[in-house]
Amino acid sequence: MTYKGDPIAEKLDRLAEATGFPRLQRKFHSQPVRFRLLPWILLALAVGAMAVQIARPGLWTFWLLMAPWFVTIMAYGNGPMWRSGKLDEREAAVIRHGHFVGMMWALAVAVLGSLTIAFGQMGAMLRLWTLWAPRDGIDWMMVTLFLLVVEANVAVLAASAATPEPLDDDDEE
Amino acid sequence: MARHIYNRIAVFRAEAGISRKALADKVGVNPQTIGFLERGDYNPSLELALNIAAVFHVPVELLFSFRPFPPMAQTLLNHGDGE
Repeated sequence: MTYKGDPIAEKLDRLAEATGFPRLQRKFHSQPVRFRLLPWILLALAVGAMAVQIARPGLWTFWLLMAPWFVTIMAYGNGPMWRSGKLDEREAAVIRHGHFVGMMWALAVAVLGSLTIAFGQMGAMLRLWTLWAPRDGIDWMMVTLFLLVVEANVAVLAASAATPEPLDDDDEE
Repeated sequence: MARHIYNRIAVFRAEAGISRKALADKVGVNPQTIGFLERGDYNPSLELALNIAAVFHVPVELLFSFRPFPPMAQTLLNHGDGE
């Protein structure tokens, strides 16, 4: 449905409709996509980007992580974790469940990562070994973004698993 | 793990002649949720169960049960035997 009222807004709305993207978005919102594989791929890409950042730190590696983050946002918006309008109790429960599982995984990654970094720092002080630790702003941004990617993708996976198969006669009025 | 709750919303809905969407609007949920309830994919909250029962003017235990409901033909047959 295109916007009516302001001629410029109408033209822009018609242009957007012509791309087909709003129609696709409406379809996804009426029936959320249950993502199975994409979050795993995005998690793998994020792990790869962190590995590159550790091995060859630099600003360009930040964009290696930004790419899966952008796709994560799209998957998040079209999956069961994001519903437009008022949520009913089932949808709210699915979102709560997704966030709980995602947060727990992000917490586990943060705790294990912090312990590893602390262990590495102790080893470095005793001149036993050297392990990577975040040093500058880019490193901390990478760590933060990595945790966000973990939380969002695990949440999408958990919510997708908790969402039942679509109904065959879903269009029944 | 929550116990499975059986229901006969579909039977009552068919008898009342109302669509999933109409029932969903009356109880304030998404029509998909009514579909998932009917299919047994989702256990409702007490509030939702009571709201659905109120729409059909029946006690909640007539709509929801921990045990599977007997087929309608069986229920009618038993009812006939009792008379």
